[in-house]
Amino acid sequence: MLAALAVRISPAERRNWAEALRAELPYVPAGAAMSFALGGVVTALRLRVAHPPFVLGTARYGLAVGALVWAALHMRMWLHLNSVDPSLPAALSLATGIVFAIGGLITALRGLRPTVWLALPMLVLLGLYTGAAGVLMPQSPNRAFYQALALEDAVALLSAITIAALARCYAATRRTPPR
Amino acid sequence: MRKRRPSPQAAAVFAALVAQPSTWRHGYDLSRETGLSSGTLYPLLVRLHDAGLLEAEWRPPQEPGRPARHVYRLTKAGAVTAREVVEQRAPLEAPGGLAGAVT
Repeated sequence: MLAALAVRISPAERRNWAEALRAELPYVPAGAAMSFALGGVVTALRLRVAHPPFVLGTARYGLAVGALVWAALHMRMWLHLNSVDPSLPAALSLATGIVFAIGGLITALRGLRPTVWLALPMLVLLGLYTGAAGVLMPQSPNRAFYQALALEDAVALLSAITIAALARCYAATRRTPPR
Repeated sequence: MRKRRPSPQAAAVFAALVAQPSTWRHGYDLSRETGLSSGTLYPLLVRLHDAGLLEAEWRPPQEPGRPARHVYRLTKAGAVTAREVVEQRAPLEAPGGLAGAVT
């Protein structure tokens, strides 16, 4: 049963190896068969996790969900800020949330490449905003708070770009192995 | 480009395979000889195969009613690499070598 599970878990291009492990089981003494079969499941999991489409899919949908959660947090923040400080930076929190939501949906629908191209200009805008905040609202008591929020967004975007780029590089360097 | 130093597990597999380079070996035999679990051995075999250092093929069973088995042996390039690895590790594993000093 474990060996059959290993075959199911393995990516299609690697199934031959899981089949090889399953075929070996009848030749393994009864006392060692269980650990040998468990090793087959471990092997299949390792092959699955290292499989480029799995890495790309995990990065893609992980980033999409992350962006949507981030967007929801921004919306919640906007609702709170709007009740205590209905200013332009509070509205920007809503705008940022909407951009993150759109980015998350595009990532889910179109993949990682658009994520990078969307996130880069957004990162530049956030950098400009953080730098210009002192000029835009010199009297605001919440200036440092809004700068910190923008910086947090910039770090989130930079992380997303890094994850997307690493996943794409990984997939590009792993050619499809021969069967 | 600098060559990556093989892991001790890879070195053990190389040593087992290069001892009889033209002999086709079975997974369980290699697991027993190297002391590696199947969960370590098979991903290693996959990597060696992807790197062109190992050939693998299916062999019909020698006894009727048993399944075919997957067998492995080093390619020419694999045998060269394996000899290098084994020679490099030999001084470390000799009595008084570095491996002996830390264990």
